[in-house]
Amino acid sequence: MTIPPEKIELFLEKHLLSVEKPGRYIGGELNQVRKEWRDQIKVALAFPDIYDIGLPNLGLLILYEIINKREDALAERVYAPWLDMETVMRDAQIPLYALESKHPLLDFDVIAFTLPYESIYTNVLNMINMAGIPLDAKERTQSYPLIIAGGHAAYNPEPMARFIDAFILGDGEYIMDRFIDQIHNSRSTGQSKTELLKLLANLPGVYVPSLYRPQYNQAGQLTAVTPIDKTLPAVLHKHMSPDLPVAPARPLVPNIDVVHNRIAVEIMRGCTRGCRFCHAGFINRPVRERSVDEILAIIETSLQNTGYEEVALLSLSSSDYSHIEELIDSIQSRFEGKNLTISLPSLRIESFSVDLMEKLRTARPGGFTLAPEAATDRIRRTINKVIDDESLFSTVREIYQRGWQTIKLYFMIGHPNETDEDVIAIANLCNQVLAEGRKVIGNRANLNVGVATFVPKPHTPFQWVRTNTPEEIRHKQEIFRQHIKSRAIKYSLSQPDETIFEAMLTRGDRRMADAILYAWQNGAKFDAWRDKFRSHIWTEAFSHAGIDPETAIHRNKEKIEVFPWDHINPGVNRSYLLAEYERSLAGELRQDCREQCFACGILPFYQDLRMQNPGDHWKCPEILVN
Amino acid sequence: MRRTGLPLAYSQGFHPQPRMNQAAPLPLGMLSDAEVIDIWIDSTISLENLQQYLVDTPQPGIEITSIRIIPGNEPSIQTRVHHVDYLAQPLMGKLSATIQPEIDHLLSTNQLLRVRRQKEYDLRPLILQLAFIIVDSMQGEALSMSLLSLPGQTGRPDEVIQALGYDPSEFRFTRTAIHLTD
Repeated sequence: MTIPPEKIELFLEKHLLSVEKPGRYIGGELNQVRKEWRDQIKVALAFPDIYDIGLPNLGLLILYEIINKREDALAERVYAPWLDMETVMRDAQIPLYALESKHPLLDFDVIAFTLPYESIYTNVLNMINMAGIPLDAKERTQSYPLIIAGGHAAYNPEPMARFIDAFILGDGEYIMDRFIDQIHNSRSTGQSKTELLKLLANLPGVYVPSLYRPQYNQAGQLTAVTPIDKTLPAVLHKHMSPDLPVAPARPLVPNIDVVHNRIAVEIMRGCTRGCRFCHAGFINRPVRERSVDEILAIIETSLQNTGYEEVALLSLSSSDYSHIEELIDSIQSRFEGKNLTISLPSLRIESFSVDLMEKLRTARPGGFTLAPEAATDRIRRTINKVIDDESLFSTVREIYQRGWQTIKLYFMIGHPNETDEDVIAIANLCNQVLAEGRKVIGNRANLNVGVATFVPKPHTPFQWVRTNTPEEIRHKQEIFRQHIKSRAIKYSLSQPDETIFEAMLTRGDRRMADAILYAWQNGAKFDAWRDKFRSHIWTEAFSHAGIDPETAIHRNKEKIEVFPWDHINPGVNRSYLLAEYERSLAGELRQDCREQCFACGILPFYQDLRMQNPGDHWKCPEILVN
Repeated sequence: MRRTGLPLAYSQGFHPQPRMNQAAPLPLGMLSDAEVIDIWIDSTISLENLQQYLVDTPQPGIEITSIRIIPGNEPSIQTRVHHVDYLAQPLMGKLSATIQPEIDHLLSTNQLLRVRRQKEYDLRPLILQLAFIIVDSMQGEALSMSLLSLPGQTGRPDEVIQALGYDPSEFRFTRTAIHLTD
C-alpha cells in the first residue's frame, strides 16, 4: 500500500532528530532535480548502501542527469537507510521513499539498483522489502515497479536472478534511454508486464532472467542457461559505447559529510594491461579515453556548479592515460591559485608517477599509494603484472626523498599456485621498502600495507582458479605477520570468512538466491561492513541452500566446466580467457594490448562500431573501410 | 561561496579552509530566518560588486537579506551575540488550552534545573522572554522566545519546550533573530 508524501514528510519532521545523521534522509542537496509529479516514467535510482557511500557514486549521478534530461521521465534517489532509521521507519510503518518527492518507491515505474559488489545483495532485499514490494520477481504483478539492476556485480546476474526483473549489462548510460523508450511505448499500448519484459529482453545489453532457464545434470552441476524461446539471444553481449558518455554537469553536493566530497571525472574507461585477476580490467574493455579539452571543460563546469575543492581523475590506471602529463599541466595552469586539490589514483610503479604527483601536490601531504600485488617474479608472471624490485625501490626512494612520509602498498595473497615463499617475499619486500625509506628520511618513514585475499572473479582468466580455504588464508596471514620486521609497518589483512563469502556470492548460480534470502531473513544486512558481517549466518545460509564451499569454490575448475555466467559476454571471449589462464600456468606474460591486438573478442564483435568510430581515443586498432 | 567566484581568504596550515564564521551555530533540525555570517575576502571589493557576485549565484535554501562590509579588526561575530529569538510551532497547528498558565508558571520560578549532556544547568536565567502568540501569516499558534546566547550560557528552544512538559519532536523550530551587542 502506498501513502502520500505529506505523511512521510510529517513523519520525518517528527522523527529525524532521533537518528544519526538525519541529513541522509531528506534530500534537498544543491543540484537536486525536483520535477513535477506527472505521468512521466518514474525511475528510482537505488544504491544499496548508506547515503554517505552512495551519494558520490558516479554511475548513479550520470544516470540521474540522463534520465532527468528527458521531458517524459523523472529520476529520484534512494539509499539504504542505516539500522537506526530502518527501525524508526518500520515502527511507524513508513515505506522506503525517494529523497526528492518523498513518494514511496511503490509509486515509481522502475526501481534501478546499482550493484557495484556482491556484499550488498542482502541490502537490496531489505530495501525491496522496506518498500513493501514482494522480493520474488515472479510474485510482482503489473502494479509493482519493475526492478532492474546494473553495475560490475551484474556480470554474473544469476545469484540475484530470482529478485530482479531485468539486468543491464554494459555502459548503462546508453541503454537507459532505450529502456525508458520501451517502457513508454508499452505503457501507451497497454502491454502486460510479460510482453514488456520480452521486448526489453531484445534490447542490446538487457538480460531478463525469467526468460532464461538453468539446466542441471544429475549430479546437480549446471549444464547451461538457455532462453525459453528461440527469438531471444542465447548469449547476451554487453552494450558497449564507442566513447565515454557526457559527464554530469551538476553533480549533487551533499549537506553532510560523505566518503568522497569531490568531483569525480572519468578520464578513461577500461584498461589494456590485462592483469589476470582484475575483473574491472576485463569487463570494461576496450579502453576509451576522454580528450584533455573535454576533461578540462568538465572540471570547469562542475566546479562552477558545485563549489567543490577537490577533483579526482578516475580511471583504472591513470599512468596509462595517453595525455596524462599534458592533462596535469593544463589543470595546473588553468586552476592555479583556486585552492583546488587534484587526486590521481592508480599510478604505475615508476618514477614518472612521482613526478606527476609532485606537480599535483598542494599543502596537504597525503600518502602515496602503489599496488605491486605480488612480490616474487613467478607470481608476477602468473598474474601478468610485472614490476622489478629495483624499480619499486627506486620509486619509493624517490617518493620519500620528495617529502612524502607515508607510502601505502597493496598486495594480494591467495594467487594461483602460491607457496609460503611467495608470501614471505611480500613481508620481506615491505621490510626492504621501509629500509629504503629509513635511508632517506630516517625514522619518519612510514609504511602502510594492505594485504587482501584473491577472489577468482567471473569473466577473468582466473575464473578457473580455486579460492584458498580459510585455513590456508590464516596460515599465509600468520607467516606474513611473522616476517614483518618493524612496528613502523602498519598492515591490514582481510578476514578469511569474508573472502569465502565474497567468492561464494560472486560465483554463484541461481541456487544462491536461496542462501541470500535465508541470510537476509536471519538478519544479514550491511555485509560489506566488517562489524556488521555475520559469518555464521552465511555458513548456515550456504548449507541451507545446499551449496558446499568445498566443491563450489575450493577446487580448480575443469577447463570445460560450465559457469553460471557463460551466457553473459562482456566482449572478451571465454576462449581468450582460457588461453590466458593456460599462459598464466606456463608463466607466460601478455604484453599491454595497446601495442598489439590479441583478439580478446572486443574487436571481432564490435568491429562495425569501431569502423564507424575511428580515432585513437579508442585503443583497439582501427579497422579500415575498404 | 566558492561558486560565487569571490576571492575568499583561506586559513593557513595543512588544511586551508575559507575563513568564515557563523554568529551562532544553528541547532540540527531547526529552520532559520536570521543568520549572520562573517566572511573574509582576499581583496578590497565594493559593496555593489559584492552584491553582484552573490546575486549572480543562486543558493537554493539560502536567501541573502543584507550585506555589509566590516573592517578586518572588528571583534568577531561570535563574541558579539547576546540573545537569540526562536519560534516554536506545534506540527499539529494547535497548542494545549492550558499553555498560558503553564508559561506563567514556568516564568514564575526562580530556578529550572535541567540536565543536558550529563551536565546540570539552570535554564531559567537563560529565558529572557517567552510568550504564546498567533502567527499572523498562518493563523497558527506558536510560542515565541528570546534566549540568552553567551559563551557557556546558551538557551535551547527545545529545552524550553521540554521544561513546559511537551515533546520537542512535536514542534517545528525557527530562529527568527540574532541580537548582537554593540
